[in-house]
Amino acid sequence: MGSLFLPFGALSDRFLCMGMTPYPGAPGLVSLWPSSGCPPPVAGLRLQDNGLTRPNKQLAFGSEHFSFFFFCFSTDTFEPICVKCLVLGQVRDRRWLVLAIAMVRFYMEKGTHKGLYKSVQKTLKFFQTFALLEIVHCLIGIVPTSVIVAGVQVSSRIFMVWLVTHSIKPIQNEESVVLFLVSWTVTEITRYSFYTFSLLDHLPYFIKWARYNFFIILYPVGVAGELLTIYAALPYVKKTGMFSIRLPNKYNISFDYYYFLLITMASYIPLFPQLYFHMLRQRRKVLHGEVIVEKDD
Amino acid sequence: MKHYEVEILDAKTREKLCFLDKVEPQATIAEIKNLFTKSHPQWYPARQSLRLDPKGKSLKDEDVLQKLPVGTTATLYFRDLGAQISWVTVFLTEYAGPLFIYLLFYFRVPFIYGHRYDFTSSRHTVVHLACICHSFHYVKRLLETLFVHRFSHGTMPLRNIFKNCTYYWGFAAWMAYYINHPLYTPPTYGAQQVKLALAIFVICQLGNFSIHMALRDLRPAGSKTRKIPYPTKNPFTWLFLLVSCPNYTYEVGSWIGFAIMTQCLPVALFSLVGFTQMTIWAKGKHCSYLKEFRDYPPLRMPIIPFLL
Repeated sequence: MGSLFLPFGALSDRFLCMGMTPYPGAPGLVSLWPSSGCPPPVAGLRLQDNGLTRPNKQLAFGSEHFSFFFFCFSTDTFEPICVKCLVLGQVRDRRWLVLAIAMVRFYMEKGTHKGLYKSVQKTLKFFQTFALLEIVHCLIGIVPTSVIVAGVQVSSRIFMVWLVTHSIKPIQNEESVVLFLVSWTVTEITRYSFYTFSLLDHLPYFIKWARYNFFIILYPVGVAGELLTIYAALPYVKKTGMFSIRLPNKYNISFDYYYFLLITMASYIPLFPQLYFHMLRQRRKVLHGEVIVEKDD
Repeated sequence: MKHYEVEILDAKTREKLCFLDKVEPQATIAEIKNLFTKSHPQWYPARQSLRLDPKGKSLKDEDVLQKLPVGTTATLYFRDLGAQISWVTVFLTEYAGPLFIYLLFYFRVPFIYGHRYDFTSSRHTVVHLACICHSFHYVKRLLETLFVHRFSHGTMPLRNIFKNCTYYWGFAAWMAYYINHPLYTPPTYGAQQVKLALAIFVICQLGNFSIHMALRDLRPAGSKTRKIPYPTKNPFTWLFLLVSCPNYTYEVGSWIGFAIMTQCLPVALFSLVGFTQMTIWAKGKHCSYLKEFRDYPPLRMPIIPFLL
């Protein structure tokens, strides 16, 4: 299928102009128009008659229905530059930008975070579930992250989105939800910009700096948001006994979602430092050129 | 007789660790390792890996110096394998745990179930049967470790004992909790299901034991020779016609029997995890048989006849 895209670098003064031909049968085009005085009609925001925008309950996402067939190539360099990889990087970057803009505009309009989750949830769920592809990308080598690190990251995201915020409605208006949503959004935008620019061999130092420094604050903030959200959810889970199986039953098994959540919270203690120090080591290696001798078996 | 000189360098840093002169040409790697330990006592032979190439394969203990592709001054590269523990120790610990832990749940020692159930006994026959089967299985494994198995390697890395014990002990506790629970539900099809499953279990236990004995007889005591296993007069060993590792096949069969007998999902999950691991091992073993023996029977599959 043909796709028309413009190099990212040429888009800095325009707000991501891309037209893409999706598969036949895909719902439609997603494109963002250049700013021209009036608020740009961004996918996810609907222009009302009074000139203000309001968040769209439904987002049209057509371009995500791209074929994701990639060829393997070396992870040391980013050659050959695969057009589809570039497109993918920009697609994913844009969707997080879409999310960010939607969130900012909502807050500016409503002045409160309540209801924010409800308005962005469809986008969030769709995009975050698509993040499963991240693991595939790591497996085939497009992204130079280890499968395990990416796997842990993606699982925790999917867990938060589907098993906590989606399923436990009363906590959707908690402040902690905004905390981790903001943290994820900023992190993902920096990360995908980094990948995209790297693929184009035109990596501005600022993007590299951001990618390897923002996480120092964002990671703990995101983790705090996630933990606080799970903690807020605990009373509801205990009261309703949701997702749990009790004895006696035919298959002689039981599962208590409440204790599962407690164990999950506890698992952050060993897992988070590992991910954090992994990023710190990467930072020292990339930004300060330190040679890190990896422990081997 | 020309004597050899052996230089041992660190594989990572290339630092000269040891220089041995007047080494017999007939000396084996094992003897060289012993000599190396004299100068570096913290590296006992079991944790030494000596190799001709820093990134190459480890040399075997039986390899003779003269037969290696080296000149009269041999350079060997050393790698520390880390703290080692003997296979026998690991096996005994990891099998004794489930035996003991299951019994704790069977006798309903305090603080597991509610206090009114302390030291009570289940009214279901299948629960008592399950305890006998589970305990028999692990007693069998312990006795095989002590008297039957002939291990290729003496030791494994120390951290393996923690990993293995967590797996065996953890799953044993999880299974035992449900089977011996006061609210345990016996199998849907009653005595019929239990009898059938018990038959499967017993047959597979006998099969597994027969294979272990057959494998032991392949290899004389103290040796590390490798030969293709073949079926013997014992009908249980006829599975060798179809499968490279029938011991794993029978093992999975035993656990499936146990799962059907207790109708307990944790047991089924344990069987699944065990099956996955044993399949990986069986495939590895099958591949190394194929590599080592030109005339390896082509009909054989690694673990499941005709399928896997």
